[in-house]
Amino acid sequence: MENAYLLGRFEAAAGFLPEHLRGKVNALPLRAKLQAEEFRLRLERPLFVTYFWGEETISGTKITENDLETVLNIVSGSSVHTVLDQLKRGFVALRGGHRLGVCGTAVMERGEIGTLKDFSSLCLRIAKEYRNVATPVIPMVCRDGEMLNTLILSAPGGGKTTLLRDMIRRLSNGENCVTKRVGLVDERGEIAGIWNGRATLDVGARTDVMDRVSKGKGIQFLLKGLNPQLIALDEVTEEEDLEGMKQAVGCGVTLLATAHAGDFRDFTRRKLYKSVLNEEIFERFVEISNFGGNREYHVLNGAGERLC
Amino acid sequence: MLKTIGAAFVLIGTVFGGYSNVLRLKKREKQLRDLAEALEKIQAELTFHAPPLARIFGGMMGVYPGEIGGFFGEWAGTLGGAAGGEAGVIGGQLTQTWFSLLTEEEQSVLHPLFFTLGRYDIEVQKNALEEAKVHLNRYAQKAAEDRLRLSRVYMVLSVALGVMVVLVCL
Repeated sequence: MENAYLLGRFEAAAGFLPEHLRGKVNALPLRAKLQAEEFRLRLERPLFVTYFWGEETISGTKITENDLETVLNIVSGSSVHTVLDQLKRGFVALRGGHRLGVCGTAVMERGEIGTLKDFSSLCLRIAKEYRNVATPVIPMVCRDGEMLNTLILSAPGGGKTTLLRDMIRRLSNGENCVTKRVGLVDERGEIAGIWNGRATLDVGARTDVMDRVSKGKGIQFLLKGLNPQLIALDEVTEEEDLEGMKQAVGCGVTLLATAHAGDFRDFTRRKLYKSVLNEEIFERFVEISNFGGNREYHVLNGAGERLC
Repeated sequence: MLKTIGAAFVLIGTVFGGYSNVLRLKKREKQLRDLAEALEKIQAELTFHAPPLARIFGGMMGVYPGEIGGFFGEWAGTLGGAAGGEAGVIGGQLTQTWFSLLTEEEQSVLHPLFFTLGRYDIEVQKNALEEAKVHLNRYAQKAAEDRLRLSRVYMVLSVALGVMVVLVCL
């Protein structure tokens, strides 16, 4: 990927930091800037930058309450009420597809998080669009050019969303496969980088994005109104998501989803996914492994046998 | 002839001075009323649309071309990167610049509002706006009474002063 692009993403994300911290991260060496994945701000701790190999501190920094509030002011344009709904869900989608994760004291209302106060940590995730990572994967998850129900597996931060986004873009544009009308349930607005209703990351020309909705409800919404040929969703974590997926398959819609699991064996051990395996919903699994920052993709069939 | 012209100038000068004071009273009352009205508009915007403050304030510039619009316009420009409570401090400073006709006490009723807008949920902001609005309306009422009471006094005094100066000089 072009260095200029990565540098631009880094600088855009750094733009959400308070001025004095922005100065510190902008002074990092070029290599660090290109490989940075997150900025982590924890109250009364130094600023951390996350790389694929771990977190590193920025010396001479100590995060204050004022810093945390300044970040929130910057992302909300000093209008916290515009992001309160997102704060309740633990993250704020930012301009350019970046994402701010928040942590603090939850104020419970009727058994649910009503709002957050006394913020203690913020995680600013740098959105990067890696094009063409799906090139070797697409032919393996298609049969006669038709996409098969596919589940992408990897540990957190392994590159699931990146692969998913590129696959959606290719399927939607009909690159190396039959063109599909894609319905994307983007619960956190992260896949398409939704900001003010617009997709800021390329998810293809024939993709309809339903964002800020639980995956189960989003699937039902898309099925009722938009007649998708393929439904894509990120991080299947709840029973409701699985029910929605089963409903979609029942309607003849192809599925493309991701799940947290180190590999296929790890996936089969998860109680939540037993029904998915028993009903043989997925015909392809893609495992992502990370070797020193280089990602490798392995495609498995429904029985877990490696195809490549 | 020269004396008459001079006397006329003196009279015009003192009357103008008195009239300026009357205008100042009027302007002060209008500023308070407009400010209260602007706060009501902000309250309505927050209730029905809840857009970012910069957009609401930007809209105020179109509705109130004078000091009120100038104040909100300048404040809107500082909002994006403001640190913690900095927006509130800036709001307070801008009040002094744009609303110099208002007394310190009148300006101070806005300060809690400046430290609330944009930092809390809609209900808290609306409450702060309501409170500031009540105070401003009370001050506007008092300003109207002052105008009625003092306008005549200023005019009479200015004419009397002019006549007295003319008589003394002649």
